[in-house]
Amino acid sequence: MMRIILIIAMLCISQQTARAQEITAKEIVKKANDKMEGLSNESNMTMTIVRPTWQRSISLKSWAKGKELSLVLITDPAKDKGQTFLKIKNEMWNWVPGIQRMIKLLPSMMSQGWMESDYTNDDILKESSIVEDYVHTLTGTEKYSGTECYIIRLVPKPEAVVVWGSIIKWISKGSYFQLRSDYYDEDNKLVKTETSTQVKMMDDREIPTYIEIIPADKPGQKTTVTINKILFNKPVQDHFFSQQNMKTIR
Amino acid sequence: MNEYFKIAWRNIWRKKFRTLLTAGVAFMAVFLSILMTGFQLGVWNNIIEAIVHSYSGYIQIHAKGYWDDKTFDYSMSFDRSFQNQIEATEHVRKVIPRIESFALASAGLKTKGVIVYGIDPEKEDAMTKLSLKIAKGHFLHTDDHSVMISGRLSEFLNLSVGDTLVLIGQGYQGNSANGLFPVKAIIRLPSPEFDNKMVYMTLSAAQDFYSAQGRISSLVIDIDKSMNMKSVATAISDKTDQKKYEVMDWTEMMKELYQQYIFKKASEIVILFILYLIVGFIAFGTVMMMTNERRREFAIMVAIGMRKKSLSVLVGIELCYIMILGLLSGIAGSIPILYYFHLNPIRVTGETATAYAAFGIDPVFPILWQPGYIINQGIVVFILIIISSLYPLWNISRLDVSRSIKS
Amino acid sequence: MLISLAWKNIWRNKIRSGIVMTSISIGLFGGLFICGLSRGIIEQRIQSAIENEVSNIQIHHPRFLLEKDLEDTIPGAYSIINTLRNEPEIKAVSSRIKITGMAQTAAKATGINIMGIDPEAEKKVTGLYTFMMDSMGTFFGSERKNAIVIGKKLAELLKVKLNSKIILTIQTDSGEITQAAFKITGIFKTYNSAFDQSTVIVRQKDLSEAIGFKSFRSHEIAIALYHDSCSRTIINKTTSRFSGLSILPWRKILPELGLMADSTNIILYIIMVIILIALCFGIINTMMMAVLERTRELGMLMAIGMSRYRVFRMIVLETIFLSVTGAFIGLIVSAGIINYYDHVGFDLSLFASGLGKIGFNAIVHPQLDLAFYAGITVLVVILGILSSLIPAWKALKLNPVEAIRIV
Repeated sequence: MMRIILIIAMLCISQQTARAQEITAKEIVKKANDKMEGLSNESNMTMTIVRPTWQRSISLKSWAKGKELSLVLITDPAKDKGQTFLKIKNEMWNWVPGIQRMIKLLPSMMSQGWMESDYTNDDILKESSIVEDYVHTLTGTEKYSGTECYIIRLVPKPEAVVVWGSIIKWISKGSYFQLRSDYYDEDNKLVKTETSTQVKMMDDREIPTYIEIIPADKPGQKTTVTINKILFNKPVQDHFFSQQNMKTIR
Repeated sequence: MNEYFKIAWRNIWRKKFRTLLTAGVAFMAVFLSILMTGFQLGVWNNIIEAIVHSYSGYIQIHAKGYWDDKTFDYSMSFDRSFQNQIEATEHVRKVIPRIESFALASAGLKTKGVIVYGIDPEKEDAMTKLSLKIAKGHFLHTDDHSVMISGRLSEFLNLSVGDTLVLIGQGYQGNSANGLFPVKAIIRLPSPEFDNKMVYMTLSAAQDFYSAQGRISSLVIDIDKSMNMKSVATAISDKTDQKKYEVMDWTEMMKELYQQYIFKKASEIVILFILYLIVGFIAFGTVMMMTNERRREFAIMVAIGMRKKSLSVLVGIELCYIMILGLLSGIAGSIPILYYFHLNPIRVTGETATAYAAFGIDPVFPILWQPGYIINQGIVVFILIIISSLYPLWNISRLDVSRSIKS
Repeated sequence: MLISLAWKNIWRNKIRSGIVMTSISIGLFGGLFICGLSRGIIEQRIQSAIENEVSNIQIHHPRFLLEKDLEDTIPGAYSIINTLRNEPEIKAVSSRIKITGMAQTAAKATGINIMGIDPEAEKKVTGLYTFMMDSMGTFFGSERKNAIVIGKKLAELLKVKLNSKIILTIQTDSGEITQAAFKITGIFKTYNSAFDQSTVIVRQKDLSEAIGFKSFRSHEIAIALYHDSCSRTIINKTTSRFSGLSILPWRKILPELGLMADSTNIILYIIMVIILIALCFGIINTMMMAVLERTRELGMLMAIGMSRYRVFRMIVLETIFLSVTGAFIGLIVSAGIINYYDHVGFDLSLFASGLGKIGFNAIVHPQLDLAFYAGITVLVVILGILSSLIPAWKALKLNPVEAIRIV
């Protein structure tokens, strides 16, 4: 009799633990994601595009509200200064002050990376959600870069509009920083690696401020993003994200 | 042996008519094959030359890997001394620098992807005769900051001469490219595909636009005669660093055209073979009948002591004289006819003519005015006739002497 | 009596007659084969283009060909298609949605043309489905939603294979940008690598849904006819029934092809002229030889009382018989050979080394219709007869006394 109760108790406990695990993997990713986004954010960044024979840096200011609204202003170098990009839901525009033109971005214009960086337009459009479109599995823990991390494997759901075959993320315990993400194609070949380091205090939280995107098979090539300043959840009106504002924002 | 040559020579002039008849075969054979080849080569040369000249040129030099990925990552530096070196190669007429890249053209609310050509106006026009295709406006000059756009593109964007075109693109080393350009001319290109999306500007304007100072996409090589293409390509390859540059000719750059060209060539060879077949058989027939007709004469010579083999040789030599006479007169006869067609080529008319003109091809069916194939044909026909004559000559050895004398 | 004499004369000297008849046969064969080959080549090229690229007729919204705008769909497409399907001359009709977009995989993103089709209708109109590669899937064999078929070149560029996922980014009906995931269910390889690299094919239903079309829309209606010659009639009928459409035959869509076809025909005439000249010459030549050979015999006939006029007629009759018999044999042989090759295919790659490597279809089916056979045969016979006049006339000038003495 005691034996049976013991077995049932053990089963119940293991069920609990299992369920707890499942929630945790997705929850971990969600927390990590929210950390970098907040409900809205305003930031000041420098993006450096590194190639074997040249290098280029762009400074930009960016505003984002949720997933649907974002505005980016380029502040440096001089040739690109004043260019703005606006995204409202599924439409994107580009304002080029030098020629006084507002261009609506079409899919056929989007095959090269954004500003020729290693960011794809997929990343910019943010059509897919790291939280919603994947199945998350916690595959273990590991010390990465001196920090204890969850290792989470993300596999896209069958109908998800995602190019990756799978993604492996190292998310730090406690602080939920996405320290490293390895992106694999459908044949399980590594395509790119994203790392984030230099944790600093920004506004109301600590976040990594230096991000590197390194393509796997292109030596000497990478894109780095340094977050110089970022404010979270500062209230911003929806009408801030407009074509008129694109032309006047400084 | 020498005796035979003399006897043979005298023999052929004994019966002038028969000699003329036999020589006539050689005459006709070589005359017709030269005419046929002349037309075949001429017509194709005309078409190829026009099309190759207006688009890719015969040979191009690029940075290695450019052709597969036409982005600025694969551009080359514009080096005067390098260009001069290439220009100094034998048979090279001109070296023409070009920039070729993509951009977005915009006017009003419309946007369209276009191909931008940065050109050296004078040099480019000398080779491609682009200025002849101007429908409205004027051709670019060296310091222009305007553009020339193709016909359908101007219709799509609703632009005419004097309006402004907006171009946006991706420049060298990640720089963004954007600019405003006045439209100086509208150019009508024959191929609808290209007429849809071409924008021409000067080389320096393109370099500024794409932030690619001192860089170009390709060097187009104009040569004096199309037949020198392979040798020029090899000479240039030898002069350039194979790891940094690639040298390509039009057969690699315009594969579709080349496919058609080869295909036609193959069928033309078949046609030529058939002509040879006909001619060869007529030669066979003629020689056969000639030896037949002289049966009695041959039989008498054998009867009075000549060996059959020697007779064959003698007749063979006679044949050679006759054939050579016929060949030479055939070649000589064909030359004035070729010359006439060279000066007055057959004119194409009707729809074909308009289509030709649109592609910039001279609407004629010309003849190739070069000695090469004339001599070739002479040699081929000579060999052909010799082969056709072998059987009849051999037949002499089977001569039934007694019956022949009696006939 | 003259007739039977002429007839018997022919068979008396088998070698001579044989040679003349064979010359005519070979000449006829040569001419027919060349015509058949050339026409076969052009017909094949045209057929191939019609079957795989353009179809006989295409209908679009008039602005579509210029701007390729998503919105420019054919007004009343549904009823047009139904009306067309009832026309007896029309074999099949297919409707397509054509837009541009971006294809993206983990490795790369590139601009592409997207075609939304109805597989069953499309199979009846174009032969694209025959170009599916072995063990590389099927042309929409599975019922799966969001299936996509791409070219081999594109698959290589995007580093994908069968069953891989591709994300298509397109513009919707309301101007937004949307993405959709597709799974590769088939890979094709055509002769046109540019097409293979730039075009992807999906089901009309799936594409329409992604674009957000609320009803049946079509950018392009392709019509396959039983005979291309009905093209004009159909175009006129359709233009009068439905206004505001652009209805084009393949010739207007692919002017380059029409150009090639026309040039070939004209060159063919020139070649035929040359061949026929060769033939005439050959006949004159052999007949002259014959007269020469028969000097004694003809002189004898004239000496025993046959008038020159009758000798003339006899020779002419002989030539007629020879020409007709030769032509008859030639016709049978030609028809046989041409038909054989029409079935089996004549492999041109034997004649040009480059062809096989290009992967171009080097097998030609010579084609000739009855009109051609009849025309050329009659021409050859007439020429044969006319050619005989000169030697016959020469025979007239024979002096019987001298002729008998000929040794």
